[in-house]
Amino acid sequence: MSKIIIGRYIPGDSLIYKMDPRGKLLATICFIFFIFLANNWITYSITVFFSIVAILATRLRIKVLWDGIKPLIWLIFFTSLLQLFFTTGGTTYWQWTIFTISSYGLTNAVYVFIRFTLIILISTVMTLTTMPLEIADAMEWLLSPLRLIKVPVDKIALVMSIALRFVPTLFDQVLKIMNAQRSRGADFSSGGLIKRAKAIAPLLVPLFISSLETAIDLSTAMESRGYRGSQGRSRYRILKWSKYDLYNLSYFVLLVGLLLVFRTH
Amino acid sequence: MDNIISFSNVSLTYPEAKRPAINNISFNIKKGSWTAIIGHNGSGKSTITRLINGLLIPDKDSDTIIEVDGIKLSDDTVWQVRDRVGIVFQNPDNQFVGATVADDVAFGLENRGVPREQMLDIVDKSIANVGMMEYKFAEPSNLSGGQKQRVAIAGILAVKPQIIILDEATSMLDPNGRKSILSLVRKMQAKNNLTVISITHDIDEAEKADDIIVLDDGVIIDQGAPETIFKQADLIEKIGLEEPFIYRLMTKLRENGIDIPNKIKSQEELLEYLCQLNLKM
Repeated sequence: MSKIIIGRYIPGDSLIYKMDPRGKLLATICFIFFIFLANNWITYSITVFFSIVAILATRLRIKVLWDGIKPLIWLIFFTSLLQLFFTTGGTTYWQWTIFTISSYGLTNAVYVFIRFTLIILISTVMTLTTMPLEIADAMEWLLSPLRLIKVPVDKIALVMSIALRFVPTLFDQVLKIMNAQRSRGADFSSGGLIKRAKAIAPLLVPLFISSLETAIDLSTAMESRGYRGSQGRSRYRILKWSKYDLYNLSYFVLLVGLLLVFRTH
Repeated sequence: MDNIISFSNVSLTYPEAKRPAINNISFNIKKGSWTAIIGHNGSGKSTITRLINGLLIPDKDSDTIIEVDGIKLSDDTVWQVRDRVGIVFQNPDNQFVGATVADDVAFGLENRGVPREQMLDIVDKSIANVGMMEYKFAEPSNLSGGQKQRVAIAGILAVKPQIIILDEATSMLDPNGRKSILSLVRKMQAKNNLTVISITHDIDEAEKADDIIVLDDGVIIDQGAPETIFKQADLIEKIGLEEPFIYRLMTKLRENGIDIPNKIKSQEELLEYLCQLNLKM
């Protein structure tokens, strides 16, 4: 249980693991925008093909990717069904009160389904192959232009990395508190939704107090180790671009190029 | 030997507290020594460590002086002082800043703006020194308490301090972890000529110190070598601690009419003496 990390990073050493987290983060964000360039069967097929190749390149088991989609599957279906029943236009096949199934609705539903699924899959590919800490570093790099308008990017980055570092620690504390409450007769696993929600409250108060204590201890330790803001700090961890990022970039440029050529204008 | 730390007339009252936590204390700590500070909970032990490196500021008084390695502690010198003092705190988790062992060891160096090329080398050496090289990229959640304390020591040694303070650093560890951390600090003390201040409840640990400061309700009630401190059974009882095992044993033996010379200080010496005594009888 204590192994849980945000984004569920799975160690590996395939091609995608060797890419710089900044490149992967940028590509993922851009993918979410550029997928809207697809607007016909050819372009959607191209996007699906490119995504499948990217997924295969991770050399991860399909099961872990499925785990990424599973929690969102109902949302995907719901959105697709909305498109299916409420889009009008083209040939109408079936109609009942406000619900219509039309040819436009049918294609739209399929498009939305593909778009949604691919976005989740590609984001999952990134989080599975990139350590949370690397993602935090990449975010810092992405935010670095904000330094110009005096946003304390280094401090935000330190806060992010400390938050990530303390996720397992807080998790251990939750388990400890749960066991302490259980030994006094608390029951977390039975009863309806409301009963379970009520059982959470006695967990939150001690957890909140212990997190505050942890924060105070940590700030004392940081100060005594010479931390005094980001001025004059050097960096131990740095990110380096490599040839693998060139692959990443060319692959992405190729995808966008094909989408621009084959989309319906 | 020179004094590396000297306090004179230092008091500290926490905001909204009725009594001062530290009440006009003065003491000196010799360079290269191992000093144990003992006393019951709330006697002001940890407050003293936080005064040494300027985490707490003493009450304003014209005669108050805190001097560390010849530097008089003030707002301007506090960072110079912190460069010379490393503290290992009680809770192994709450002082682990980095995401991995290497990152945590690098934290102090990053704060001091050490160039990266030098940092890589220093971090490796410091981790190797505490015997954690195979865990260089490990995350704290995969380390034991003792291993985390080793990393904390590595992070402190990396910035080459003169003084290491163990603020109940071993109290959350199991007996094996405790032993190995203490022997590691002893090794590092000998190697780098460090001054060690150990705040402890562990009387057997205090017994091995060169010098002991006994605190009671913010006042120093005695300072001296372990053998002079632990001879005073009433003093030890007063501060709510138990004498070290061998002192308790010697008292019992004396009560039973066996003559134990005063010069005996360690378990080994006592053992040898008793064996010889056995031969004579």
